[in-house]
Amino acid sequence: MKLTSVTLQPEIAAERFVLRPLRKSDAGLTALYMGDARVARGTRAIPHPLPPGTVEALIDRAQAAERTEDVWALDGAAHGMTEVLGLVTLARMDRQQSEIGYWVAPGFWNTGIASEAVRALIAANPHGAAQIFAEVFQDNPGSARVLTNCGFDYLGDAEAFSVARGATVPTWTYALRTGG
Amino acid sequence: MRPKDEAGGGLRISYRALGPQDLGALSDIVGHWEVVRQLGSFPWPADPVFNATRAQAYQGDGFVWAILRDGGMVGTVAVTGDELGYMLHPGQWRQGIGRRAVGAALAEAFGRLGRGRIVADVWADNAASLGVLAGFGFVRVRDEVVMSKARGVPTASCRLELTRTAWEAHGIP
Repeated sequence: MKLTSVTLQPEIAAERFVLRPLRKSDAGLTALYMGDARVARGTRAIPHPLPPGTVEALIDRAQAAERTEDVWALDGAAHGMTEVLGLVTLARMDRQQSEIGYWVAPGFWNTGIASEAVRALIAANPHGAAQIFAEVFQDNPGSARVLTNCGFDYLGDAEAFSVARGATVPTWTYALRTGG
Repeated sequence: MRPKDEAGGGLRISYRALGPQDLGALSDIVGHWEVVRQLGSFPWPADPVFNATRAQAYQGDGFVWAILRDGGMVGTVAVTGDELGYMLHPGQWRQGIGRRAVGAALAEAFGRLGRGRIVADVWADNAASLGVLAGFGFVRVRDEVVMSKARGVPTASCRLELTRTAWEAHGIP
């Protein structure tokens, strides 16, 4: 008998949207927003301009059984908003630790979308993580506020390479103890 | 855990549980390629979040200690499960600090923790660590080629083993 492990990824309800696993039909909106320099420059890994096929590859990876990172779309369709407001990711590390990442399309900035998504994901704690880590670029204090709003503690300064900027950028590192 | 002080060798070396306060010093150590290329789990280039996940109190079976020299963190030594691992800032190499730390960790593992056997995986080109471990009676039990996370290429690795019996017979070098 062969045992197959299936990586389950729950749908998580927030107030104004649901966090649901990324799917093929998200490619268009996701590419539109990920292709925005303001989004890409806030991340380490999103290139700018966005090469063709990047989003399709992201969706394929997000659906692979052996993935280590789960990706949720922030889907506001049921509340009269767009199907992809942004994405939130949770990468499984060892020792019951996970790393969270997120971006929100610029049109929805400063409306609490990211805080709501991060708060919902923490409450659901789908990886059963004891600690969740995150980092933000120091020139993106709005993103840092999302973390502190959600109870994350500042750990230290570091730096990380941003592909979109083609440069190493100062970062702040944060962690949250879930008690999970 | 109270720091354990050791006298001798003119070096003031002590150990305590690794914690979030060590993030800066740990990041400095694993910012050195000559260190990271000899490690198993750390990525290259260094990843600030990965470093933060390691600068935490170890919750598993075993221990991860900070190695302190004159109170300053200069490395780590760990027994996780039955596996020994350690790292040292390059500025602290060739002074016998690694040997002292490994000795202290083995004493803890075979003593208080009651381990029957300790293993260590060492890249085949890490002559310094192979020498340190041989000095404690570790024997080479397997050679293999495995992917090195930091180097990004398949790399020759040696599995070393020290049984409690051999440890007791061998004594401290």
